[in-house]
Amino acid sequence: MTELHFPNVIDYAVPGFVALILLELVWIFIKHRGGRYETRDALTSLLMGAGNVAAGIAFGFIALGFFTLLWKITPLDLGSSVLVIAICFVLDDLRYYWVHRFGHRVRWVWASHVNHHSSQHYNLTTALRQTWTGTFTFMMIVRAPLVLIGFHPAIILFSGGLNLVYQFWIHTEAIDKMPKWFEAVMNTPSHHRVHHGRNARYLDANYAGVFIVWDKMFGTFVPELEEEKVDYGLVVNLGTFNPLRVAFHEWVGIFKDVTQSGLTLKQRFKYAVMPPGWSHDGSRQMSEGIKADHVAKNPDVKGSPGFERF
Amino acid sequence: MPLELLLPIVVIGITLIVLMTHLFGFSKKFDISSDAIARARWSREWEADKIGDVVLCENGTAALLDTDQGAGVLWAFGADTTTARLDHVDVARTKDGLKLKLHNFTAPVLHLTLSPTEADLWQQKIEGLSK
Repeated sequence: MTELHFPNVIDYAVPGFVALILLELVWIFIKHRGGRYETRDALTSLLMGAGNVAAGIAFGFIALGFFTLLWKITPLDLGSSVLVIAICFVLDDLRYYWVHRFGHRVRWVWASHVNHHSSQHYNLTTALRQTWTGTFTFMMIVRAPLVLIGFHPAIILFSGGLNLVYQFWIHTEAIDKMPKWFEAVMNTPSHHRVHHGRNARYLDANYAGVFIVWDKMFGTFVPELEEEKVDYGLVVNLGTFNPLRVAFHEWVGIFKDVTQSGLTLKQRFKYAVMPPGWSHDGSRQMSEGIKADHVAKNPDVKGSPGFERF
Repeated sequence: MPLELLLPIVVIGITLIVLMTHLFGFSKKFDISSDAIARARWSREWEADKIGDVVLCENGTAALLDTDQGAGVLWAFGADTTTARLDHVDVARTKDGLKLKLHNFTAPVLHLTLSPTEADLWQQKIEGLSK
């Protein structure tokens, strides 16, 4: 088996992250525009980021072991040319799109991803507000095909690292729109602001990592509208800055729902895997219900971006 | 990158960012200074609710709302606001006002700084509206 080693790009990007956050902060302070910062919110985001790195160190061996096992099984080896790395990057970004989409539509995966959306601010510290429990979503399984068709695990992980480093800079209000050709193909601050929106219009949209083309291809693209400013956070916002509560709150919610009395086995399972907001008695709302209610209350938005199916 | 290098960068970086954010004045709390603001901020999270009476806290940090879905509290959460329905709440007096035990993992306890008169009014209303 070929031994390959690539740098952990995320670790090497950390000084850059710090520098850019300070730059954005100073820019907002001087210009009085381009976003908002709040001290406790920023601290929570940064601690979530540090915890994410620690979780990677603690549990990274699980995914790595899984990929190594698959690499041992597959007879295919595409090598490590620049072209192979480039193709792997694109395919891994397709993988990212689907894992991210599962992250919003399957509660078990949402329980890990919800942390990232829990800030009511949108700045570069938000980019670092990352999960501590990603390993336990088992989404590593979605990467399995990439290993089995012959991409070395080191190349896949390197591509994934580059993908995440790319996504850092798009977490800002300081950049309005990029040139049209760029906006057409790439994920941008504008596209990703929509993704972080709790507005009914912007729910469950723009799942892209690097290439926005996947959202256009799979029907989940919603443009940022001038007339509807993005409101950031969760549909029902958290009331805590405690990173432990931020990290685990949805897992606690799943546990409470799954273990409540009087449910069938199927209902208990559905509380773990249906989209966020599903309930056995219809007492809560999934994003479809939120959108439908919003259109009923505001019929003039029917058929507009984000409400095409309502 | 070796951990011996990464760890100090992370610690110093976080400290610097948080310190500068505070020194730039970004620790200011949201001011719930009017009935209209309280209603707008509640509706932001609970669009379908019909809001009745609103009681504002004198120091602008919270509001008590009566809605067609039951009572709720809106409070300043850093530079923003957040909400909780009061369908399952325990209220206790403290020397500064009230402590609301919300039985919510994402907002377990809310400490309200209220004058004695306000605290009486809020406690009465919460216990009345939460039945």
